[in-house]
Amino acid sequence: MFHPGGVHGARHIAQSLHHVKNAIRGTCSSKLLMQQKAAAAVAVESKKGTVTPPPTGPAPTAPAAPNSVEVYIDDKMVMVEPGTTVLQAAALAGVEIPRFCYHDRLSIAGNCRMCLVEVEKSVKPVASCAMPVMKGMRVKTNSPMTRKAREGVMEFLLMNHPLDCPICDQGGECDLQDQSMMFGSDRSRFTDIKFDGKRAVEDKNIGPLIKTIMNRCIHCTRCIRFGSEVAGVDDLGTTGRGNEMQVGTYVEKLFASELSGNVIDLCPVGALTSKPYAFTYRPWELRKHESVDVMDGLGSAILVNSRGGEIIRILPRVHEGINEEWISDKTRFVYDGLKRQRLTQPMLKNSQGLLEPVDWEDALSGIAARINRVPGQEMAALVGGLCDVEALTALKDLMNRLGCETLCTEESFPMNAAGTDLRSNYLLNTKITGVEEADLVLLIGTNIRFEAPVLNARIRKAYLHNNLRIASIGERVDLRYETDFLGDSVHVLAQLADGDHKYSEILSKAKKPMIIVGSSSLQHGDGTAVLANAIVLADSLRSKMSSNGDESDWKVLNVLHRHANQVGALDLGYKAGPSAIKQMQPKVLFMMGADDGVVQRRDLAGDAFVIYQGHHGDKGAEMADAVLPGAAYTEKYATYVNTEGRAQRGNVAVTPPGMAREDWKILRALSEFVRGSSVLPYDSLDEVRKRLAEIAPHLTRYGQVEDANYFRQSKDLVWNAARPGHSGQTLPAQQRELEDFYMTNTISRASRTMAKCVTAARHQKSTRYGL
Amino acid sequence: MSLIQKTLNLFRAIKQNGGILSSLKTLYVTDDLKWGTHVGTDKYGNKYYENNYYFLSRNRWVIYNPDFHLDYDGSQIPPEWHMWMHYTTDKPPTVKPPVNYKWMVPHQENKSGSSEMYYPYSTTRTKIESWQPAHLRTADTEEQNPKLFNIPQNNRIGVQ
Amino acid sequence: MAGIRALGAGLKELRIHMCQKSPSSQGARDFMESFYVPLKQRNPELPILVRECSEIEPRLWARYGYGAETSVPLSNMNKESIMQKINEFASGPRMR
Repeated sequence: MFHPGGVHGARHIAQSLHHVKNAIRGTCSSKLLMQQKAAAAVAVESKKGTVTPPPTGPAPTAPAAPNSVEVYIDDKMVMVEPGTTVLQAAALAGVEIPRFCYHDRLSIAGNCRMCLVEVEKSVKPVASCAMPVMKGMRVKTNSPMTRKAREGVMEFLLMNHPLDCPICDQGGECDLQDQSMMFGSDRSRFTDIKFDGKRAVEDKNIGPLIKTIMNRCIHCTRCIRFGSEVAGVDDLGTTGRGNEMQVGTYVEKLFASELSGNVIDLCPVGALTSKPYAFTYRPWELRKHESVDVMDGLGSAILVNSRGGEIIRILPRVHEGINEEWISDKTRFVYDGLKRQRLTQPMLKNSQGLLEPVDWEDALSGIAARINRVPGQEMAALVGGLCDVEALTALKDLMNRLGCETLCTEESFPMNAAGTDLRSNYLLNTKITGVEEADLVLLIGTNIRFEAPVLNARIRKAYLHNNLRIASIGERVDLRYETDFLGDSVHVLAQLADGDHKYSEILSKAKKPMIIVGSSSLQHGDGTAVLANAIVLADSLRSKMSSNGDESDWKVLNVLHRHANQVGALDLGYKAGPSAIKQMQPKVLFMMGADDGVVQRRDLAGDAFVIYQGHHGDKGAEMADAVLPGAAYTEKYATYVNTEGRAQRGNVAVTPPGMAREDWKILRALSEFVRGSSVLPYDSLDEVRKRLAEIAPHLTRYGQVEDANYFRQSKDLVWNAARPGHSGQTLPAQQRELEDFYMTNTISRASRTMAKCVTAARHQKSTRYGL
Repeated sequence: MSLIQKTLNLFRAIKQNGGILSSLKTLYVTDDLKWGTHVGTDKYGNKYYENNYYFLSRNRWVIYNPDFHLDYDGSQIPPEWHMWMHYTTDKPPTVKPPVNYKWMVPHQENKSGSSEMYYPYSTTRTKIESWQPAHLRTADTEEQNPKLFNIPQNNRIGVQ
Repeated sequence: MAGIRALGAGLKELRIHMCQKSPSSQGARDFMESFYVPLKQRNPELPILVRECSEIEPRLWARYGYGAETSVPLSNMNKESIMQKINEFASGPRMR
């Protein structure tokens, strides 16, 4: 039941001991503890509206700011910054005050009244979540008045709450259950059941992901605040007042946000639960596995819950550096795609040219026989975006030992000039937390709302609290915040790089500008021009910053990747883009997870032998002559490098189905069969990781972002070559509307839940209210 | 009944069963020697006889196809004759032919103990749906996809 | 500049590992500032992967065809000697 916290192991253990101690005292629940940890680590939201960027290291025990205010919580003194609320001060003191409507990442509502505490010299109890501390304030969190207030509030909440615990999905992890046990009274005085009874509210239909049972709603308004502040989608609201108040969309409307699943975590009761896994589990029977998400390039921290060898649900983990506490809908609900269209048996084409299942030895020896006939220069490898770094290393080593140098990723990246030599060319250099320090963000050719929803939420947070100015170049899309739209083609970017545009003045005045180049704009013909101009522009902004006396190491250029392991592949030395393969027309093509269909049969030699290794049967397996079943991201110990260059480890939650195996092990086994001295020199995961460190040492520095430098060198190489021309066409956004968001990779294409979401989004678009 | 009547019955039974040696064989196989009217024969070659002179429950009997020898079994009687044998109906199928429905499967004797006996198999959905290459995909809808339920095609799931 | 030449087709990939801050990688950092651009311009098809990581010993790796690899530590070497090492590596795996 205890949800493990984020990244810091020692602090985690300390927290769990704290939890045990407090459980004996009877003051905490596990979810509150998680919030307390987040509250202790996250910034203060004061009425002025400035948000200081959250520290990525361990939480400070006591801020030593000179204007600290002293507060006494239960006679224990804490020094806090002015502007903290009593609830946050109590959290710093180690006292957990119960609450329903307060959430440290949302604005303060103060409507649940559960956080009432007694403050000396005040007649009435005070809502601690909304009351800023004053000097010398003495707060009593366990006095008889406080306890009576809590029992009273709980009694009121439970009066209209249905007796649904046995059938409610939130049972076992319900804030209302925990707090009523700890702070509520032990007996009920509710006799009205024989007369008017409890309030009944209709269930609302807000989409195929969120199940609403509005009888249980306690009107904490967390979902409404999340929708309007974090997601930017104002679909949820309240109607009516008093007993008649209902939370919903008023007209039957889809909650059309790519982050909509997070309200399921936010809702303290079982009013908003998950539709795909309704009535399937209880939280205490689930096993927890910490892992990393591969649906987009951010590598959000997730927790995979499994029971009986199948995945039941995916929850977010708190990671201040990447995803805070949110994950996108695709990340959350895609797990049922892991159970469909799976490759479970090795297959080989028989004499009639039809794929038939064979066992491992026959498959590997059949493949090796075909490989041994072909010299290395006529072989090629193509990798998709979901492969882990260990598998990529094994493939590269194997292909290199066979004499093949053509290893490509499906996703293109301009390889001219510095190409992928310098990491600074293709990483999100300012890191994701840099968004909160920036004062201007220029988005180029990216619909960041759907390509990296959690990063978009962070930009929106900075837009709301830090007055971040956002400009965009590319197809006009709705990002849920206002942007300065500059144009839709590379022409505008070239003008900005030369300093010829109207906006250049604003750009140069920015103290910490960020340029985010979307990888979708680098795919087509204009991609080289986009990156070249972005590099030049970034360099000119940097030199302006340093001439203004800014000594900081602020990096301007960022590239946002859409695929989970594009950065990993580029770190290892893969060529980006299938053009090399199309040029050489290989006789043997090894496709690993390559399901975007960028290379077709007609691009290969006539009698080419195609091997596909992956976990889903998609376009790659349809094309293949030999199919090797691999493991998906929840089924292997894998390393993924996110778009910031942070290497992260994913863990095994369930075993690979059928005869599938881990990808690097398949390649290691294949290396035994092929010719020459191609046997790979590693037999265990540790040895593979040692090899990773030989190629790029940051790949084994889990959880850390390594700075990449040498922007000027990159710019010199691009500048000295002729600046590539461009066609002036619109930079197209690959995902324009909500319906494009849901099915982008092979796992999400196999998922029934995602298909339902696409249908719902399309249907909503056709109604009167639109999306 | 007088001794003469009984002896006449015996001779009639011997004559119906085809002589002394055949009667002895019939006696060995069926433990019984009776005479009666031949009501009909079914498609397997079993012959059905009736003689209301014998008391109820002995007045209708079957002589199984001699190919079965000692391996005769009650389940070898097809359903229409089964009705008559068990006194469910008065009229044998020769008089009132059975109704043929579209859903009727061909009759099979009880295979217990033989190599074709029924092995129970799991009817739950498989947790993971495997991808099938194009030529092995049977239908578009998953309801008709046999791989969803992993039903063994030859019912021999115990022997794999 | 002296020593920068086309390195030939035997060398398939060069990898330079260095630390961003420590003094032993100073030579490698100077090499990047001065020699990387002209070297890349002379060898546009050769991948010269620069992988920085904090607090590591700087190393130079060279990969040849058929998976042969050599490496040499670059701690406390200056940029000219690093350039020289690269030229040595270019001739093939036997030269070490």
